[in-house]
Amino acid sequence: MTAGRQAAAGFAESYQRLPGRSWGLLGRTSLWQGKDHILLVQSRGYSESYRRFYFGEIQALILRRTSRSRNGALVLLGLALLLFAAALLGTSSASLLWLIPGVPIAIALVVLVLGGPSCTVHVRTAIETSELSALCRVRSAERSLARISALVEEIQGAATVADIALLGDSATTSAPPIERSRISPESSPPPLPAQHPFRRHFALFVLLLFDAALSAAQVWAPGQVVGGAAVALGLAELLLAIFALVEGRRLKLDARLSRVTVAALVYVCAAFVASWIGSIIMTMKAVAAGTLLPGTMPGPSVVPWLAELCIPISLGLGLRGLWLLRRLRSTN
Amino acid sequence: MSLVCSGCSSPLPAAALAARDWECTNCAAKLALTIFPALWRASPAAETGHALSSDSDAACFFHTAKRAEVACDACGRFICSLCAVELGGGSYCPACIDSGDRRAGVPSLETHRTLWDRIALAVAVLPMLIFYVTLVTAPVAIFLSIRHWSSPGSLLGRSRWRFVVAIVLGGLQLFGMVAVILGLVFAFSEARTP
Repeated sequence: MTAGRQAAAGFAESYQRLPGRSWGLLGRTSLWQGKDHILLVQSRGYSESYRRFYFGEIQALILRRTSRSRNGALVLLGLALLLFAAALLGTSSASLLWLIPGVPIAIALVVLVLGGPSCTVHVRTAIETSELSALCRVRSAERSLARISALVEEIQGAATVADIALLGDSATTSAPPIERSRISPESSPPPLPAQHPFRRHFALFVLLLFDAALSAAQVWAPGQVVGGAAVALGLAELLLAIFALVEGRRLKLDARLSRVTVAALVYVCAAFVASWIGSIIMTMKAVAAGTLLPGTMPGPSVVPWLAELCIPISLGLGLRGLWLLRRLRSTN
Repeated sequence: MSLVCSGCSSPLPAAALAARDWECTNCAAKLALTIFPALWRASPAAETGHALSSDSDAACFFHTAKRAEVACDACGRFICSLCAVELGGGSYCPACIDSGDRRAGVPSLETHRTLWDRIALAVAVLPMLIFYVTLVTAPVAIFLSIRHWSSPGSLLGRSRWRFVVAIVLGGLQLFGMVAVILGLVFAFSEARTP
């Protein structure tokens, strides 16, 4: 009886679980090893979707390290620090309530860090290149890929150095000239447009330096004018960071510059959220203490420790970004 | 035939194929590549099928002028080599490949399954938060469990314990409801009697 007849007769194939799984908003993804294929299972609670990749058809497995877990950890670390600082530096016992969101965020941070560096894995067949979304951590992905590679090599045989050299020759000769000049190892990154390609990045990093100065002013000379200027500056930074990221995607800029821009965007958003929550709490405290009359609006205010925290972050991001821009310009 | 970076989709140079680890020159992504002989193996030439040579030859279901080479492993139709699709060690006709999702008859062709055991369990458990709803949901949970007892579950192979739990919970909820109703009736009748 062939495998097909067995399948038609309803024989369930046994699957072995491969290391690695991921969770998303819509469900869970896992990877399973079958007799002659790997099965990617997307479970959405009450249904499952399947994708099969047969060992005989897999052409390549590509693992790419990403900074997703590191960025996530930095965001969670920032939030946890903010909340713990708010809880510990607060004067009243009510400030300990900040620990209620702080502790779960700290636990999530520990879980994220223990998971190790993140990655994405793609499998290429003759038809398509698909992401194995279950493999999102380098440690488990490497274990799974070792098992899959062994199984694929059992069917296809191992790729020899001579084969790869021949393939390299054919790939190089068959590539169109424009692409070849782009991929040659000694070639520099693609030329950048001559007309101020980084003006949005430059403006963003300069504004971050102003942000540091304004935060210092908020610490030592707080006032409604300074607070209002900080809000306006934050909005300008937010817009510039978004525009810079869009521009960076179009120009395919340096990855480090993109990371600093993303970090600036995350910083601005986090500062807005933190100052918003802080303002609400300060207003509620003021109302409770009777220092703020009902019906009157408080002016732009900022939690003092938040302004202190913003100084090194905005200064660091601004200087790092300007240094990267200068280096990139000198390279090109 | 050349590979591309999974981060920026720029083609990878020939040197990247020989190296296990590679940093993309365009986006600086760190890649680990594993390539296999299928990357440069030529695809087999497409079969066109053979014409009928005698009256005793079986004809393809879809191409009556061509000789049948194999029977479809799902539906049994005779098909020529042009129609036969090799998949997972079996041969299937295009109609079965097309309807594989809907018929759920060929597990190796299925791309989706509904997990009725989970649905039945959820229908039995979740309404317990609002007890009165169980008057409706308990029979539904029992019905779903019995109706889909033999329906194919997950491809990964699951036992039917969720169905069993759903039936037991549904039964208990019904029993509790009946007991409450009988108790109320008894209490009213007791209250009416002088």
